[in-house]
Amino acid sequence: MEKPYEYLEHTADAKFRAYGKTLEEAFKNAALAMFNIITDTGKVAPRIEKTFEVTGEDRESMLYDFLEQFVFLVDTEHFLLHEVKELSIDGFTLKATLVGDTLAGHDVHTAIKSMTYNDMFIREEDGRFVIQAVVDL
Amino acid sequence: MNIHEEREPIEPVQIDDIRWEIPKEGGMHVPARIFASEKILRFMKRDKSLFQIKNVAYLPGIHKHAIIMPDGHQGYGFPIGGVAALDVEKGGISPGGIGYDINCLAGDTRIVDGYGTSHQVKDIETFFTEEEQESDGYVLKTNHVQLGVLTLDPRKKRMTSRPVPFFMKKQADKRMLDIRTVSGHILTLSEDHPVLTRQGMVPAGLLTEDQEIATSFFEGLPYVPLPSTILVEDLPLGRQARTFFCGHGLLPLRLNNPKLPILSRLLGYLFGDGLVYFAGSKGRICAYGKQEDLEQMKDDFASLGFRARIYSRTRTHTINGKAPFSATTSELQVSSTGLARLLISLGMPEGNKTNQAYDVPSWILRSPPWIQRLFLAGFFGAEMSAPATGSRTCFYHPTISMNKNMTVVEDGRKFFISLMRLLESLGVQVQKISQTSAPSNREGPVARLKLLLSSKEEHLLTLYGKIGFAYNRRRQETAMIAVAYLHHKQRVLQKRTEAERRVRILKKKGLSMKEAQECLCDETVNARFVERHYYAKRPSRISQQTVSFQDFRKVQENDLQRYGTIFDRIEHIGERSYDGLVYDLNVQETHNFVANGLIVSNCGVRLLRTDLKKEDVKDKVRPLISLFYKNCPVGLGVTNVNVDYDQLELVLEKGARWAVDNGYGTEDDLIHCEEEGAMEQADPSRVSDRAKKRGKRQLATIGSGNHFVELQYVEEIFDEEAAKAFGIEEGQVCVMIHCGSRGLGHQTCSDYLREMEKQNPDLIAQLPDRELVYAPSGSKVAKDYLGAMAAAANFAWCNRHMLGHLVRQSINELFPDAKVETVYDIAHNIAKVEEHEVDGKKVQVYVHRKGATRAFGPGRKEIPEDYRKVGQPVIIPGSMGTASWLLHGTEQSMKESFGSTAHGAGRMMSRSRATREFKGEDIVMDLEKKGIIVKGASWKGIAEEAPLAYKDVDEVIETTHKAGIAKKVARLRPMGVVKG
Repeated sequence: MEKPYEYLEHTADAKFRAYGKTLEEAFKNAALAMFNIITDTGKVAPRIEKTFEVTGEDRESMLYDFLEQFVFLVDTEHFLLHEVKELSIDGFTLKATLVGDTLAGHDVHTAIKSMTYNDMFIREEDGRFVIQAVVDL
Repeated sequence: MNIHEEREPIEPVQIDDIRWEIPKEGGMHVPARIFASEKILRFMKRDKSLFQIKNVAYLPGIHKHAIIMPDGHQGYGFPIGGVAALDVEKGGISPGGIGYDINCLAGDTRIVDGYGTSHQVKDIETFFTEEEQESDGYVLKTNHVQLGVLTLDPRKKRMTSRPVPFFMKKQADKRMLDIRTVSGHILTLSEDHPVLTRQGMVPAGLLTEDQEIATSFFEGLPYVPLPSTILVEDLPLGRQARTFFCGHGLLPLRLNNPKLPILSRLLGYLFGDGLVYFAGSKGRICAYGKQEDLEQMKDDFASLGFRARIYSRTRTHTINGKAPFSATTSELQVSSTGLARLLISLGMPEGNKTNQAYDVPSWILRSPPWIQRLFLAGFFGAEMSAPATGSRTCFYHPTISMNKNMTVVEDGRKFFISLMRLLESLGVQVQKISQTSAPSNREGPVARLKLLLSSKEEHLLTLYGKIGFAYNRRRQETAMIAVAYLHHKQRVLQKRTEAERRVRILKKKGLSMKEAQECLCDETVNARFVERHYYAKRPSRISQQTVSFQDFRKVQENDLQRYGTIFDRIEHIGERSYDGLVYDLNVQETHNFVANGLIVSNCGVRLLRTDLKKEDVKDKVRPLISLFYKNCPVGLGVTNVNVDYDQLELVLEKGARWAVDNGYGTEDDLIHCEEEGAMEQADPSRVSDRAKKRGKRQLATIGSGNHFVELQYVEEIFDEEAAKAFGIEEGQVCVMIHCGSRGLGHQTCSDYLREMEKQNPDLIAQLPDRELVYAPSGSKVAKDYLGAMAAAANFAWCNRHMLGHLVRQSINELFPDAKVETVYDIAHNIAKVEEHEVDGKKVQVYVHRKGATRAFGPGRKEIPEDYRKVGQPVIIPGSMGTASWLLHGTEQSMKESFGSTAHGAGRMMSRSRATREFKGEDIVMDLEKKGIIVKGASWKGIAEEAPLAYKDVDEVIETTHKAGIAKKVARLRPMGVVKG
């Protein structure tokens, strides 16, 4: 199976690429790529469910808002992701249902301070979607 | 796997041992200045630092240099370690402030306006009649008539019409370049004119042959002024309607009415998929199409002064018992008796068109081509087939079909003949008009008329490239791609014809067929081609290897989706001698640069001195570090002090003062902070609730990443006088705190970055990096941002102030009599209004320090009195386990770097690589062997901050010291550290 995401070199921050057969799948994998910088999502129990919606003006800003929402959830609700259970995109509006847990008792590697637009792209390549993003650590 | 993006490296020019420069070129407003030793420069070349500092030099209003400090490394937008001073005052529309847009085009450059009509840029001046302003050799005119030019809307990813508020001309004073693309477009422009590439805007002077640039393949037809012939003298209207029509300039309607182009385009579409009828005495206009296309039409109706509504519904159909499918149909409606009458008097048939006689309106036939084009494009948008190929490379005949009752079939034919004559006068030939029978309607038998247009390439180029489709985005885009494809095909054919000629020449020269093949075979011709033309004279054909239209289209559609434009390859760039006037249009409304999203949270450093000696604490390092760890929480999701929202407002307003008021720290601590711990411009109400929610529980916490609290001792003094002023002596114990405004500051940046983007969508395409978006001077968002940023900075000062006090309490737990005082506290990431001298004049500038430290020289009033004689203390933390430094600001930093200097060691290894190469456990053990105790939130976090992941701080300090942009005072060695 192809890997859902991978990390790239970036001097100061964390850069990743996430893949998916659909745009939705690529977005889901981008969320996983992001959370695995913070912790091992495999070890986070799917105990809490959360739903949110973001609307951007294009795909990039929708991605920015989507990932930024996670930074917000970690800081304000100490939420750690297990996975994005459902995700639908309609135009530039994205709805997501997440499952995860609060961070108490989890091994946290580092915190993400902020989302960035640096080197961001969303592309369709060889029949799959590729998302690249850099987060500020 | 690691993926590295390849780029031509930048080779700066060496000025001396530690100064380098990237000379001003292309759209850079100033040169970029680099402070680096040769070794440091090598590190900078490895990542994007140099590209980023060069980008900074493009910012309008920037003074002197874009500067990168010795600790510089790649950030986003701005490099970390970047300093830029941007003018505060040059507001309004003085050309200096517009900066970004004064990049010039040759006078004969063709510009396509919002109607699809082309103008030579020099002629556009006639639209700008009102005001004129001259300065520095520029003539600037403002526009008070409706003129829009076709421009890329990077948000919607499509071409749209935008108003042009300014027109400028000046004597050419830069190198002018001729850029020719593969499809034969030629653009003559000055070397600093930005051109859109796949990598963003690039000044023409930096373009290379073979690079792809955004190209609009739609040329339109040239503008000619219209006569004032009256088309509609009067209409039977009620009093109110008459007032409205006269007030909107629609009556009497003359050919030169500014709204006529829109009427012509709308009429064309209505002739196709539209209907104008009266229900009783109420007139109504309907049009059918896709919702997004109808939206465009709605805008056109609105600019005439009428409100249209769009109704969409989805219906499920079943045909011949097959699986049902659903289809959405949309309909646009305008209820206006007057407009219905106006359209009818312009030639629109009333009611059902199938059983009526009508012709192309005679006024259209008498109008100049650009007005005719608008009618045709509207009609084609409704009625003409989309460009498509029958074989791999050849296009079908474009077709228009129309059903007519037999009673009026002759009139239908007449309508097609009028269309044919009109098209042929514009250079598009008609192939055939055919007639077949169609199912009858309730009026009787029906004939189906078809108008087949020529599929010859020259005709298609005119049809798709000059006439096109209106109100049909999909077809308009396909037409553009078809034009690009036809150019591509012609190019291939041209190459093959050339090769064929060379085959014959080589044959004449006595070469054998095999020898000729060896000389000529490449990607356009193969061995078989050479053989064929060696033995027989045949006309060249397009080869089977040529990309099919379908495949070509897929690639282009991908570009359209991603960039909103398609690209054409540069074939040749040549210099052209040109000494006439050059022109530019300014498509945006706002220009001057004030604030931008490049400022990340306001982290900074605080240094505390104690009256303890290294020997006093030697055996108590571990318990001290444990106390720091307990009292100054690190990592994710920890809370120390939970304030309510009312208190948080006060923190944002008062900064470190709030801490003192609430029992954290002293007045003396306050005096020894940059800005005395609070920026006056702070406006807490400009900080979003989201940001406040993130910040509420994070006060008095360190955070993560490279933030820390470190126990240190003074290892060596380099400047006795300054050290004495700062209260520093050898062997003394100090504590350094590095942290910032936490989630609140980051959220504030994200909020405003997004807001600025939303408000200035045009800007994104112009900037080399979306992260560099900025707010125009004087705009509300710029003002709000400055208020919010200052509030976030205040949060950071308050945070460090509280941590400083908690460190003091920790030390006092073990050493109750120890005195712990603040040496100084400085911000690393901030934009501030400061006064600096530029070319002998004092100017107000926004100094942006992104991962750089303010380093004011002696005498500045901003420095606390006890330090003023020696200059401001500069605190530069090293990486974990290595030395940190105390320096002082200098006259030199005032002269050279807007009173700024380096802020740290500067990373050189990515975090991911650091975690692969080092283990947190090993680092802690290694450091323990060196006598340094480390306590952190996670092993991985420690590994990421491995000392070897950073540049050697001593090298950074040496470079800084040599450059004189800060001078060494003391070196501090770590004894223990709490890592975020």
